[in-house]
Amino acid sequence: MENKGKKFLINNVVPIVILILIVAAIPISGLSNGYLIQEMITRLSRNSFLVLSLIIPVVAGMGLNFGIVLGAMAGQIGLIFITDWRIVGMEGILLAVIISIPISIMLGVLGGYILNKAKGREMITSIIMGFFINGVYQLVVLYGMGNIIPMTNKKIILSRGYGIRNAIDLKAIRQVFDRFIVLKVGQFTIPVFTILIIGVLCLFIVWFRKTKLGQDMRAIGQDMEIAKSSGIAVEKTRILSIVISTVLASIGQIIFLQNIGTMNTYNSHEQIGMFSIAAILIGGATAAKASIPNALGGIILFHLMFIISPRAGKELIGSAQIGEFFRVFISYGIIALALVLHQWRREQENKAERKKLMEMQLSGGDK
Amino acid sequence: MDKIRNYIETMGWPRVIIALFLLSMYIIAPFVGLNLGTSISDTLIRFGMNAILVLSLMPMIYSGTGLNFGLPLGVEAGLLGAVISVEMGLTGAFGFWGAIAMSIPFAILFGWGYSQILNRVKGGEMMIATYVGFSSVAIMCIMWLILPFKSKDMIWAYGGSGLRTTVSIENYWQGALNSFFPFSDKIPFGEIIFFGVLAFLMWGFFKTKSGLAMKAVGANPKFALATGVDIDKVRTKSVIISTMLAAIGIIVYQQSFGFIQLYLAPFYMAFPAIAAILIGGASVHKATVINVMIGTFLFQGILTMTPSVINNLVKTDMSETLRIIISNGMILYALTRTGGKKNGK
Amino acid sequence: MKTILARGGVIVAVLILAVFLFISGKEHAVFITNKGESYTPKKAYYIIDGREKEVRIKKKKKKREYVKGTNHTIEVRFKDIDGNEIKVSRKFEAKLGEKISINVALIEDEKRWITKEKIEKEKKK
Repeated sequence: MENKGKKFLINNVVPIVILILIVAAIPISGLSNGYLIQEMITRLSRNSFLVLSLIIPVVAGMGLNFGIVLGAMAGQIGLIFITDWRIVGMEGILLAVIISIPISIMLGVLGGYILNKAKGREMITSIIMGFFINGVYQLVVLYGMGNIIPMTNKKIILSRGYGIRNAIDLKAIRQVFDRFIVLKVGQFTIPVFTILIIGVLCLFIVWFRKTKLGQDMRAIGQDMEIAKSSGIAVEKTRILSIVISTVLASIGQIIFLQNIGTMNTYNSHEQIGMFSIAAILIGGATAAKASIPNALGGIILFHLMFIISPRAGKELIGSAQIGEFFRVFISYGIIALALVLHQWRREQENKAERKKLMEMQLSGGDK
Repeated sequence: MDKIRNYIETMGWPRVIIALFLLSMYIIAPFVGLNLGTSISDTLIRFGMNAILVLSLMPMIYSGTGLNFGLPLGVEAGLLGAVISVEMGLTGAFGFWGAIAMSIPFAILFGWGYSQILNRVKGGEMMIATYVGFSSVAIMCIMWLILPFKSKDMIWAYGGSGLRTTVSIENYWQGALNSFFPFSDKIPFGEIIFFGVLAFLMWGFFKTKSGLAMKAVGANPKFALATGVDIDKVRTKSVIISTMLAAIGIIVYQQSFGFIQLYLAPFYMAFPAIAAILIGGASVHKATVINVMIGTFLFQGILTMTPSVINNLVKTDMSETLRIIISNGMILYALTRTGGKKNGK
Repeated sequence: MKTILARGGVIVAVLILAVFLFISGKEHAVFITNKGESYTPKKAYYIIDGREKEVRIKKKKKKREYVKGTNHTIEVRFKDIDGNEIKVSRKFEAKLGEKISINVALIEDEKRWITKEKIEKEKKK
């Protein structure tokens, strides 16, 4: 009994620590519970799709896919086109998704290919890859669009004649998903349709894990060599996991942006990787293991912390600017903390493994 | 033919390709309206600015603590020293060496703390270093706002509190290192010589017993342990040396650039340095002074030349975007070369 | 062979869906004017596609409305020269590449209440 409790604590040390910090900070910040709850509902519906897209690469042993930024960029390109063509409403979003899918598939294949060449260093490589493709995206969107790529809607083009503006108003598709089916519970508004879509994704992930492909990925994640010798096409499957993740990320980014209603052409996608990964790490996931509760729980914890820390910082020290920096510090510090704790946990697990192995050998057990 | 092939293989294809690319940039330059002399001089200046920062990566690579993505930590120590030097009103050579002198204690302190974290996460240093670096920049942002600095050249005008984002050191110690030498605005002899001295010290250090112990810890920890080396202590030493060099590196950078950049400027500084050393042929486990020199030159060269050349070719200013593509592309290239089996995620 | 057909089928289906979405989702601008030949009502009101609030358009004024998709209706009401209340509903189609102008003053005239022009693509150098 005591051992089970201890194990639970160790396994979930990260979310527990963060939860304690948050609970301590809420009263300091002075934010009302009602406000927080509504914010959480909104942010869950906005971010879940993106964070959930991180799960499959983790299963396949690719680590935390910072490359979801690539998917986000594909989604944004889709949105740029439908804004240019003036397609509105539900049709607009669906068309944006359709446009972005081939782009995200291509980027996913590219990303998977690059990551395959950097085995053992996938996470840091995916960070750099995100930066790199961001540069290519800028090349296309800031210089190509309106130029080599014909655009008709003058409103979204910069005054120099080519290149997309920094911020695009998405009011044509604003909250289309969110408002499609809405439930009002007391003072809270719940975007049912969006949540249904997230639910479908969760079901998909659960189902996927049980398919042969999902099992293959799991095998690769546990031990690449053994997977290879049992006939699994390791390289291709790894790429496939990244492709799926990237496509999901592009849809997720579209869902995210339709909720916000404005797209910062050159910034919206940058933080997405950082924040989504911070969220899933805080939810207790590791580079080797991630589940749906990690994703959803993590979003709640991360966003609570995200909202509360600037306010708490302001109340404690008295400057909103400091509160902002404090929030940045906490966001990155938490990722560092989560990674450190994860590594520490790994060490403990390895030690326990070795202990068990030694005991087995000493007691003369069979192999 | 075979001899050439062998030579290229020892040099490494990527380095050759990049070197040829850079060479072609220099050749094209005059044809697109760029002055060749200025181009080369610009490259050398950028070399001088960045070489020491790249050099700072060496100790940690040897000791097995990986590529120092936490470089911003050392940079922050350097910034502290620089800012204090300006606060004290030091100018010229005093300003420069004073800045270095005052940053060293901070570098040692930060480096020590940093190493304590890294020693507990063996195998996953690089990822964690990145975030430690980011977090430290954020904390220092808060510090820049609340530390009690008074110098009029550094504080926000109109009675604001906290330091400005950029502090000009034109009147303090800009160019201090090069001022003793001729052609100070074309060829940064001072910086190059200073780099040479430090590089020589590095090279010498790695031939000493401590240096060899450091190499052993990185190459074969079990062997090092067996010979009685305290692994954690050696790693700590390497981290502290790296941090100190980073602090010195940013001060040299600033005296050339003419500005102290605070707040979010150091955020991504690790990446160009790492790109440079990887281009120079280093790997996650091994880096020589030659790697540093060649890498910095090639990297800064491409970073200087390519945007200028392409800008003049296409008549548009795409420098920022091109820099992003080039520097990250090079890091990607280097990261995907070695298919390491190490589990250093 | 089967997989190629299946995949090809999916792609074709998606393409058809995309075209459908494009057409039914595209927003068109419709220009409304109030300029009669012999008589122009001082104030006219119209409702497009049964929207909640009716829009007032004064004599000789112009307005621009946006509609999504192809098939639309417009319901116009105003007082004619004798003071009688006139109410007319019309249907119209918004097609790609066409500029639509509706003159509410002429709404009773079956032929001239609406004009469509082909939009010339501006050539930008």
